[in-house]
Amino acid sequence: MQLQNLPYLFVAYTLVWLVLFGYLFVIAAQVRAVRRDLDQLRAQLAAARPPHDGD
Amino acid sequence: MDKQLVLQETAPPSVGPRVAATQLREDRALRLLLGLAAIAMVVALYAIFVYAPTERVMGHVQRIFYVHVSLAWLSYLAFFVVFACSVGYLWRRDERWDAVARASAEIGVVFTTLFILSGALWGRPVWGTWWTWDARLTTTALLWFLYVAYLMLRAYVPDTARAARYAAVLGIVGFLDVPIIHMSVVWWRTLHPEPTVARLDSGPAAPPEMVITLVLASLAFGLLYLALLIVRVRLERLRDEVRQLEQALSLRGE
Repeated sequence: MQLQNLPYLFVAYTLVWLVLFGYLFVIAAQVRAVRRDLDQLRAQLAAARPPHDGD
Repeated sequence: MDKQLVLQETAPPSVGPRVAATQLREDRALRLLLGLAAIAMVVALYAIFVYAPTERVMGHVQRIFYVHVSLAWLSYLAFFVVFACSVGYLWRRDERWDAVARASAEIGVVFTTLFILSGALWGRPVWGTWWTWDARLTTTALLWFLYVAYLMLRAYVPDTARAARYAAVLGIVGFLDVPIIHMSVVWWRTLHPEPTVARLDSGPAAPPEMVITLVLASLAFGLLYLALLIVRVRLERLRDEVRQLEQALSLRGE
């Protein structure tokens, strides 16, 4: 019982870490993508702004 | 690993200096929090695999307990945050409450998925089955379905204000399942054992080394939850900003 169930222990910890790192990776990628979109939109908005807006 | 992906983001030149300074301050705080979480995880792993004694009957596989119970507690915390922020949103109609609720629900679902899977991996060698429809497991499965439904509601209702209202109600009602899960092993005869640490009527039944290890693991996962919540709320804020800019552009006839 002591050692024969070690694969379950190994799989449990590996699974937890893989999923958590994967989740963090996905969120980080989404943050980068949204920031890129935001920069493009800001640039478009600045280009579309008429000169008498005060900028 | 992907820590750098989050943190290397610096304020783009197109934003104002005040926004840029805030972003950089937030990046620094997040970097510190992730660093603390990483250190706490290393300490917790040392405690789990070296400091904690081997359980006499189950052997080494019992060490799944530390990650299983920590993730369960953090899931309950995540859903409590959803509950509190949902009440806040319905009361104040402030979108910031809703953003935190949405972020915490997603993290709660990830943590619940992991504690169900780790429980199955512990149950198979100890109980001889991956899953059984006992009270604790069934109410936990219900919790998972409730918050997956919460996320689906957010994704599929096109009117964001209406989705936020419906989700807030579900977030409040769904949390009622958490005390039922905790008490299920007391109220009904189940295969799942009664709590060995968080017992309402007496102190922990586990040896102090196991309790200390569990506390360390829970603290480590708590710091990770906090870091994930901050990143996830920031993502919500950025998405809101994108929606506002898109509206502004469409008003200008772009």
